[in-house]
Amino acid sequence: MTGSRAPALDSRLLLLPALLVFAAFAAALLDLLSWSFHATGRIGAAPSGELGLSVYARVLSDPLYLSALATTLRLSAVATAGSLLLGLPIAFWIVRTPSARMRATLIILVAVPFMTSLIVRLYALLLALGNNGLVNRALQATGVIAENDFIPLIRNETSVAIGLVYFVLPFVVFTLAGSFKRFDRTLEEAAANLGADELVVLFRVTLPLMAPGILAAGTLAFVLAGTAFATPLVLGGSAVRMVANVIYDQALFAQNLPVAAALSAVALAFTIACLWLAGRLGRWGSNA
Amino acid sequence: MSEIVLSLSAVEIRYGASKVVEAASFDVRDGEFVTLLGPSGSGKTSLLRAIAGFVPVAAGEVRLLGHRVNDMPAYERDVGLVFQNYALFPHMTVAENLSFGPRMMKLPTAETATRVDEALQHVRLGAYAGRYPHELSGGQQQRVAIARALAMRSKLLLLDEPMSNLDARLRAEMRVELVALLRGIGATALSVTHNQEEALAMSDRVIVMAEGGIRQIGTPGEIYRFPADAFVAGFIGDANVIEATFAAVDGEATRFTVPWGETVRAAGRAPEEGDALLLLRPESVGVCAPGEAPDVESNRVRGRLVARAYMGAYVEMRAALGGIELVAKVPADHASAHLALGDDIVLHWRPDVVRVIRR
Amino acid sequence: MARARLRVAVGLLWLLRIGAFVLLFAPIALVIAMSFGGDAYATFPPRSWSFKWYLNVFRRDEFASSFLTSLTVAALVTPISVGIGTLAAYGLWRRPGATARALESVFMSPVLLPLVVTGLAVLVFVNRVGIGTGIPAIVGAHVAITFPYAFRAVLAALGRYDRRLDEAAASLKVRPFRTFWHVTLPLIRPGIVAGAMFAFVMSFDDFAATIFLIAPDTRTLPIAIYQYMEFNLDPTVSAVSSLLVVLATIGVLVVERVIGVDRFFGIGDSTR
Repeated sequence: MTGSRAPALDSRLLLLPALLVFAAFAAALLDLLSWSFHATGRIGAAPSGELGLSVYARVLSDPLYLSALATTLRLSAVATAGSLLLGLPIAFWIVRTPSARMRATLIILVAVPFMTSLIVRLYALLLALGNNGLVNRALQATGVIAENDFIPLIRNETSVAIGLVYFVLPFVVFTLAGSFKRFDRTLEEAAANLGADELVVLFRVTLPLMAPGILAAGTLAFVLAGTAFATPLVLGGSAVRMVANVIYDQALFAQNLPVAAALSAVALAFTIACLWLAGRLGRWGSNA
Repeated sequence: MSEIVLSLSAVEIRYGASKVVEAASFDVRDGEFVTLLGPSGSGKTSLLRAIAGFVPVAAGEVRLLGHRVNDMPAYERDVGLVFQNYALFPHMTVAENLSFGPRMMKLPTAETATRVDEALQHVRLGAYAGRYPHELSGGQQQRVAIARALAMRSKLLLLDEPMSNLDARLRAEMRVELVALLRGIGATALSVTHNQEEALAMSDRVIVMAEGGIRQIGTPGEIYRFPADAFVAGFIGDANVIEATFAAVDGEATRFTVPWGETVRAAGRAPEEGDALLLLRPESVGVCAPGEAPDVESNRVRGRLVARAYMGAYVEMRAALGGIELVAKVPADHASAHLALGDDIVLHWRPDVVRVIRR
Repeated sequence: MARARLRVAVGLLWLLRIGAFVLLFAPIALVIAMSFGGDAYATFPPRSWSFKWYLNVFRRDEFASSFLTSLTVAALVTPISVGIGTLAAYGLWRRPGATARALESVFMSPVLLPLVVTGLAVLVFVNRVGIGTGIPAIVGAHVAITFPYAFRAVLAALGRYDRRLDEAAASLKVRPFRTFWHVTLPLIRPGIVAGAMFAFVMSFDDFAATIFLIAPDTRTLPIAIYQYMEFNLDPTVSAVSSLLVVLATIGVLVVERVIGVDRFFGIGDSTR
């Protein structure tokens, strides 16, 4: 609403609270990151030690941290692939089903786990994958393994991977469904009219058009999985450390705030890099 | 002399770097129904919105009842606006829509109720006070929008394309109703439309606009019979616009050279030099077969009938001659029915129906 | 050949769908089943049935008090986030343009932050400032986390709002604040409610940021569950988990009633 003088002042006032909150938070974040330039320090005390990038050098060369980074990247990739594989068919179903009731039901079915506290879901997975859990019991009952035997499905990368997929899946489904619904079905009808069968239409018309949505969902999955904390904690125990776990340990147990801060910076850079890369890929795709 | 409710002088409206309206000046007097008429892009809607206060004025003055309102915010101006899409509040009933303005002005409850009732009576929607907008038809919504503006008892009513969302028959009905209603309550109104029939039928005065400028201001009769330029001539009603040059004075008339080589007599003295445009309304043009004689005074020209359209009340005939086409509208039961496409026909008209427009 | 190919593909599609829903629900169903087990430790299948673990949930201090803490925090976070988010969204909506778009990105940027980084940043901050951990710190962190979602929900609702209604109100000589209160707000209420629900749930469920900010006597429910889980193997955790699943289900059904789950999650169509 353009026009006369008064609104200009009003609108800026409206933004003030949000800007203040944002500014405070930005200050806190910058403060945290500044710790990464000091050699030593812990929470509650002032930073000490010489200034410089020594912490980063340490973080990026020490095998402890490097393995955590490698694990993180590895598991995020697996989780992204898994969640896309499982999420695409559901998202497709949600968007394509003609019945509004069915669509609402499907969304509710995905939403209930989504709105359930993560800890609850992780505990549930623990029960399912545990040594005496559902899966092992089922395998014992069907004779695949011996009565007292079990397949170790928790406290290893497998369970963390499954857990990450579980965690990320609803996000992926909703992102995919949200981007698919804007679809123009007449393109598919045109292809069919020109003689393409369903599979060809799927691979040559539908999937390419869905590519931006898939890219967005995949990026989201990768970032969420990469910065996951609770999932590796509960399902991986001490065997699987991802970057978020190391940050926590270094800050609160090892009293090593600079390292925690440096890793936080790395995590932040990782997130920004993923989004930037996704943006570039998206543009490259649409120019191709 | 009734008071001036709205006065614009040299108003200019800009959008970014381009001028949307230039040098607009006119008055609207108490009790008048004035229409801003023009095609899309003419700036008429911008002008209306500027008067309402939603668009800033880059230069010039807008005065309401003598007070300069250029810098007054919209919610302080004493104007009522009827929106093209009605803009009824979907979460309020008809009565609540109508009472919203008075309530926010903190009028006493009794006064508010009176105004709402009155407004509903004026638009004959008394029984619909409790309905919601989505439960009403388009025509009913329009009337609620009008009633809502009326309930404010503003000095000036602004109407943005009031008929554009109605179907043809409703439009014809509402035209008559709306004018009668506004006249009945003595309202002053400024309306915007691109429909020239509507403008001519409803207005006391018409302001014709094109490309940001005002081309002519006058009564409907003046605009129709004495258009100021080729644009107005072409925009209002149908017209044959003929390029001509002054040829000679002929007694009480003037002769012009026209594209098909002959000369045409136009009644009255015209300035002696230069190029002109001759305006000929198709309904003033008669048609006959070659050999049949119109009266001696009439101009006549022979052409080939290239199109004929039956319009119910009249038949539109197009004749090609000398590189141009002329259109005639003859009554449907006219003896010209026997003329066939491709035949030679004679078009004739009297000198006094020729209007001379400067180029 | 194409027919067979198609059948295989369709079969695979349905397999993946079923697999996905199994992943989503089997663990939860398991938890609910286990919560009724009579044994002192979690075995499957349970050898007897009992409600006693539910009673234990309410008897045990840590669950009751942490539930209250979670509720308190969420009840504080939601109005703050939604209030600030609504003002910000409205402010940006009033003056669209390049600045508005830039500010929109700025306000959405906290979603980029990993939750642990948020938690740690707030921890460092409260130590610097001297407030210490506890409810204010947790509320602060949660506001930072939930604000972008509340903001976006309201912005989306404003996107569907007809600007000319504001003009109509102005033409009725209604001042801008009154217009917002009587016209705009009622019509964007569904979006605000959606944002509020999102903020509430995100705050209630948060683990990764909150764990940095707990104090000896202040924990949220997810943290309490985790800590209990570390040392106890009895089905009490299953019981409290089941209760939370029920809560989530109720929440989702309420959302469906109020604005529809499709709209809430951004999948709605305009025909609704």
